[in-house]
Amino acid sequence: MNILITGAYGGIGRAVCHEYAILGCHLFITGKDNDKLECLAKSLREKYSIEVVVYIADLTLENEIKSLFLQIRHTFNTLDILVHCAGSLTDRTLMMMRFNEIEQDIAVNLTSAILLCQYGVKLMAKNKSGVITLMSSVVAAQGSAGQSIYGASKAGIEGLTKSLSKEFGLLGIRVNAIAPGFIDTPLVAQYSEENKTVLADKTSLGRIGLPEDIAPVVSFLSSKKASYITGQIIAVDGGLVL
Amino acid sequence: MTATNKLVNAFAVALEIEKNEANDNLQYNEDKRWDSTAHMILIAQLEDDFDVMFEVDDIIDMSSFVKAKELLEKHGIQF
Repeated sequence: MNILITGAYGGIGRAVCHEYAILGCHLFITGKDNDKLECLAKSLREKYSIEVVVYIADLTLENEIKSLFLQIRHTFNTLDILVHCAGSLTDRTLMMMRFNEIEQDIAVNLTSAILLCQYGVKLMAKNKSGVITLMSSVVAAQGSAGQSIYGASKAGIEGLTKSLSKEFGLLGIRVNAIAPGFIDTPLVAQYSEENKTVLADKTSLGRIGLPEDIAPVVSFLSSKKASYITGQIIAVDGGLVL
Repeated sequence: MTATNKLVNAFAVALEIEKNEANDNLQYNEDKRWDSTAHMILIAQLEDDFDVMFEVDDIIDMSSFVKAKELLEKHGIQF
């Protein structure tokens, strides 16, 4: 199985890499920081004896996404699974968001997902099979003060997921999204311990989530056990109510 | 295999038609087997077989067998 994982060295991305590496999959991992990617790739190769290809890409730029897929085609020829974990969160009220910051968050969270699907489908269509898993957020459905642009972009992911599942269904390609709750990752590193405790109290399970809570669900959605699941937004949030 | 044979073969595989049906008369959406879903498969097949990557404008413009040949020529394929 050939798998593209974006945002690979982030919290969820890293856990997803390990989840697929255990299964012996070939990984194509992307991010913007070469050192972090190489470090991750080295540890994956050593621990699991799998093929890991590193590709540095700024997913806000279409030409870099195009180059990324050219490289995947030359390396693997086909793509079985695409997992888009890269994300950006500017936690600030709308009145304090600069236009370039709004554009950046939408570009990283939503436009990149659109383009990845647009290019990815071409590598999946030939075999009439493939699985795309995108990352939404609990914020898309529930909203969160200070995260309006993030929430808007994640709501866009959910609309994209549902429409593409219909568009790609006859190609044998399934498209789903996961809506994580509050997950302890570098994306929310600025949260204080006090804030994390408050959020943990808002979950049914009484704890904040870990990347390892998300990764098995990603793996499940791309497995044969999930072969009749498409167009779904799967909440993995411990019962969080914002 | 000549480029023309490769093109015919790609159309036949992607659209699930006979090779003799992949000719200059073939037009997008005029043959029910060349619909929007088959078009995606065709683009994937052509990109793979000819080792090119089409621009979105190319994909939109690829409205016939003849047009496909023209667009591939633009990407350096000689017929």
